[in-house]
Parts: sequence; C-alpha cells; structure tokens
Amino acid sequence: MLLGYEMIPRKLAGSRGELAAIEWRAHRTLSGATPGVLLIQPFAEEANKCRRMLASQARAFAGVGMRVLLIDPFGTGDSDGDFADATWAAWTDDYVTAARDLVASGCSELLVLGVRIGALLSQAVARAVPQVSQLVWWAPTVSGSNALTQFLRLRVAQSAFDGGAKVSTSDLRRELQSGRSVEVVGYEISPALGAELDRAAIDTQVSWRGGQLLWVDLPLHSTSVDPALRFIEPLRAAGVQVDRVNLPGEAFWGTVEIGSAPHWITHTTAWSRRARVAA
Amino acid sequence: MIEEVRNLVAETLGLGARMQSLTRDSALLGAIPELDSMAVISLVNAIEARYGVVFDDDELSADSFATLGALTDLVERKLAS
Repeated sequence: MLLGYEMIPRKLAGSRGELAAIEWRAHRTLSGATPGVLLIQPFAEEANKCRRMLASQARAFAGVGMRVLLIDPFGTGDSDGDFADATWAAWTDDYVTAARDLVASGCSELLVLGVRIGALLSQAVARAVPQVSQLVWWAPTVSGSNALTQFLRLRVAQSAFDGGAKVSTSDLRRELQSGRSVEVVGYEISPALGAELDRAAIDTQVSWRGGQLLWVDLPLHSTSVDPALRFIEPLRAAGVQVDRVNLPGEAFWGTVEIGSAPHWITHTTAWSRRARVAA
Repeated sequence: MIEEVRNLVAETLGLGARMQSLTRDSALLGAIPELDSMAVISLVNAIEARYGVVFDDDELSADSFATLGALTDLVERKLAS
C-alpha cells in the first residue's frame, strides 16, 4: 500500500552558505521512528541527467513511509556559491548537515543513496553520522581519480573533435596541480576540488559503523571482471553486508536523452525494506 | 560484438528505431547529430564500464568514432590485449 506524501522545498544552513533542498514527507507516519533517506547527487552534468531517476526513487521511498531529503551542495544547483568555489570538503560537510537534519526530525535510521561520485561522498556521511545503517551505491565511480579523468576527457574530446588546440588529460591535470583552475564544458574545476577528487576512494577499512550496502551496476560483458570484486571482500571482512547486483537499465547519468532504470528503483526500494527488517 | 556495440551506441544516444539501420560501415561522428563530443565521452564511459577496458586520450579521435566498424574494431583490439 503506497502512502500519500508531499514534496516540500526547504533551505538548510550549509557549511559555506544556504542550501536548497527538497524533502519528500509521507502524510502518515508508520509506527516507530520514520526511516530517513539522504540522496547524494553525482558530479556536474551527471547531476542534471540523474535528477529524474532520483526524484522517482524519492517518490518510491516516500510511498513506503520514508522521509527523503535531496540537497544541492555548495556551489551547485540552487544553493549558494559558485561551482568554482566548491570543494569536496564543503560538499561532505553539507551532506553531513543534511543527514543530521533528518536525524533531528526524528529519523533514527538513515539510508544514504549515492549515484556515481555520490557513492564516494556517502562514506563521509556514514562516518560522521552513526544513524546511517544502509548505503546504496548506484553505478559508483570506484575512485575519484577515475571520475576526474572521465570529466577532464570531456574537454579532451571537445579539443579533438571541435577543432582548436589538442589537449590531454595529463595536460589538464598538470594545470590543476600547478594551481590553475580548469574549465570543462562550462564548469570551472578549482585546483582544490581537483586534488580532493583525485584522492577520493572507496574506504575498505570502513571507519563507519558497518551496516548494509547495496551496490548496483549495469550488466557487464561476459568476459569482464567485475570491478566491484576487489572491494567487496575487504568490505565484508570489515563487517559490511554487501549485496552486489547488476541490473538492466539505461546509463541514466550519461545518456544524451534523460534515461531511466526502473528495475534499479524497484530493487532498491525492496532491498531497503528487507534490509531494515533483517537488521 | 558489433550488435552489442551498436546497442550501446543506440542506448547512449537515444536512437530508438534508427538503431536498426546501423551497419559496420555506418558513419558515426559527423553523421549522427546526437554524437557530439560530450556524447562521445558518455559512450566511452559506457564501453569502459561494460567491457572493463580503459581508453587512452589518443583513442578519443575522429578515426575511432568514424564508423560503427571502426569503434567495434577498437573495442575488440582492447579486449584482446
């Protein structure tokens, strides 16, 4: 039975400025404390492309009585600040703030869902907020360095195909390392953000309370080694219950038209319920 | 392999029914309006994720994306190495 809910625009006080946020709140609360969900958006242009999937997932969670919060961290979306001034540290602080807001509103258990680079950011929230008991990673970028390379390649491709001086990802990284900002498809990456991104990685020491992790990717080719494998064993050894699935869908963070992966939503919603009951 | 790469191209670019008409010799870059430089990177990311390969900067070239055949050959070469 799906519960009715409302979508409420909100403002939160973030680390460096005001944050624009949306909350999905069920009309009736379930017995016991309301479980909360924090959604963590991916990087730059991917965030725009993922908006619809995240909103669909938010509605699905709200429909089963969860309170869902989506924020634009500093320098992104409708929040204060310019992208050029954004830092990874400000973003993690903002997401921790958002998680604590959910706790303050009565959520004693939190699920944090991170898409792409959002998965890496979710770890900081899990470390800082003990109520986080479930993580969901949608198509996680397993290293910030990979994410930065993929992002810099947007400019490399532009230089290769649209004429003008050819530039390489190494050239652009050198620019960042020598203290200069780099512009990529209209986004200005500061040296600070570049350096922090390059360092971001999956923490297999798991300095968070250790709970449940759902790791979702698209299907792989039969000859491909699953890139998640080298992380899953250490994560399990550190006490995280990892459920790894490959589900069909569109690569909605990168398709030219807004894409969707409805199976990801039904699976994630069902998993969160099963995992909460089992915990 | 050409079927799979064709499907990846079609899914990434949202080609729909137009996918059916793509053959080895079909021109990609310059012929498909949806395939701008940003879409090329989306396609590269999708290929890397699906096949577990990594593209070098040099492979982000007009030659690699000239035709469906050229792209498929590149993916096959990377899988074989």
